Amino acid sequence: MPKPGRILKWLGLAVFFLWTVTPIVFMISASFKGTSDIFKLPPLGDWGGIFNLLFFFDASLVQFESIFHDGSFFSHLLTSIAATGLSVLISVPAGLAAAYALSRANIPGKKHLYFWVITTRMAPPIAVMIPLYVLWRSIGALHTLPGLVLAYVTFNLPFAIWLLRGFMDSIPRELEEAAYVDGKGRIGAFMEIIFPLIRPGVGATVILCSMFAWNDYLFALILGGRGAKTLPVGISELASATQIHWGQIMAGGLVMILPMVILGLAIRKSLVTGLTMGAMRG
Amino acid sequence: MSDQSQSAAQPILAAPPASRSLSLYRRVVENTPWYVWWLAPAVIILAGITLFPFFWMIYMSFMKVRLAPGLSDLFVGWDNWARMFDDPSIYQGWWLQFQYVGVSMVLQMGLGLGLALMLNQTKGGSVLVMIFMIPMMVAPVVVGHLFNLLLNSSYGLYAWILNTLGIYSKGSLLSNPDTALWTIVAMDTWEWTPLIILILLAGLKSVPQDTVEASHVDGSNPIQVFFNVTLPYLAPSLLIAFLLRFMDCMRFIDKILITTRGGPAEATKTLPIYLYFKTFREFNISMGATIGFTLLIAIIVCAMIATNILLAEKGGEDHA
Repeated sequence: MPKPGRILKWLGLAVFFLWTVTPIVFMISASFKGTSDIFKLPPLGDWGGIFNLLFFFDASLVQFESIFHDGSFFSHLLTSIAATGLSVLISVPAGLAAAYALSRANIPGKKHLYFWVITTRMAPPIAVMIPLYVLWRSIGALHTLPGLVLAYVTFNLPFAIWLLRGFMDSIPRELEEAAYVDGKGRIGAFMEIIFPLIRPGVGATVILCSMFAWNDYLFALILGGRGAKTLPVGISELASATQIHWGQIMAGGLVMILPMVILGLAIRKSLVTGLTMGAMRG
Repeated sequence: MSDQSQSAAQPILAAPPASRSLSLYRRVVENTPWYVWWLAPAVIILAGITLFPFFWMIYMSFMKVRLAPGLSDLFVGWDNWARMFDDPSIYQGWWLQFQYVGVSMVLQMGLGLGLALMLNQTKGGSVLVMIFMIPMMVAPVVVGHLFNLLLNSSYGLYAWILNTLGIYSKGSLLSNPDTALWTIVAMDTWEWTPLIILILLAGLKSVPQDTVEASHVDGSNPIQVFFNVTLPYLAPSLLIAFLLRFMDCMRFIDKILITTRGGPAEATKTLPIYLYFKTFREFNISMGATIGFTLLIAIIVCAMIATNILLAEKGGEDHA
């Protein structure tokens, strides 16, 4: 590549780097400031002041102390963990079994089954929620943890089926046939041959399903409501019409995104495969 | 594959007539193909929480749904449908949704392609990619709050930068009807361009480097190499990136709800946002079901097209 091209390339990457990291750096620095410091901006044009604002400030843990001080943040955190965990606990095992059947059996109408699964995954939450709201209300599941968990299963189960089937398709059938010769049943063959081989895929599925449920706002807002208030809803309530607790919102947001960023980077190799539902190999 | 069912079939025929009902049960159980049991949990759960609600939504669109205790739903025929087609906000909502999704796609695909090409085969690229991935993992709700603060006219960093550079000084970009929708587009672009970069980088691995070098040697300039060699190999990845992002962009409204809630002056009241307010703020469930059903059908049609294309791209193998 000629010289000007290379300069242009690194310039482009540098601009995109700044565009990507500035909001994150800003968020981290705001989380570690006292409330009055968050509102201080240098006079217009003082770029050095901005640099200090982002990197050299009086660090303080006061925002974290205040969100953990009253118990509600902690209870929202527990609700988030419970709703995420339970939805994964239902979706992944049921998805594994269904994916195995779809991968190995000649099922009549398989194409329609696939289509149903994938469209369920692509349905807009706001439309899915309307009948769920009415139904949950009539059976008393509205604003309860089980109701919210089932709502999360509506998107996590189809995702798990679709993704895991892709992983299973990549394992040759001959391996199981050897196990049948050894006198093992289907479940035995699955547990001893298939499962160990797709374990990384199962791990990626668990992490991605957790991410979808953890980051959800709309289902938690409407179906979870008061009874099952998760972190995204709890954090959003820190911004009311009368007062916005920016410091707490930033600190709470940081607590919320940190586990997902770490998990996401941990599986970055399978992230593309997962987010494209197996349409791409990362 | 049918080993179990065959070996099990013999004893059933030989079963004594006395235990007839038991043998009928066994016959049903043992003649059921194995995959039914493996599929059952997932299919039953999914049918209960998606298929049944889907039909319930159609039912509600022909009823006047009354949530108050003691009142039952009233049949109103095509009433809700007629009102939906008479409602100018619906058309406005679809138009805003179209602009939101359309501009987001163009921006993200363009940026994603450019950056993927810059990052491809670049030393240190993988470290940059890792950093670029972070926004994707930030919950949309947090993205909304973060940009609310960044753009805040009195203490937002981005408002300060725009003001200093003389680009914009009239308060928050989110509270101006002319800029609000495009600001949300920018937020979505911040969050999701990385996914397009990742998909295209994976796709670029399939471009044979010797062919690229050969055409460089032949005297092709980089632009010719891109169009003649790279693009044909990259086309499937571009399509996948576009379809996935398009579907997600159509579906999610968290960022709009957190930042503008459809305002200012309804400038960001896209169809799903309008639907949200109609259903869960006015509690007009019947209209919600009607509008929701049309949105769902529109998305299912898109999904049908997307799925067929994706499956065809994957090679079709066994699933067609």
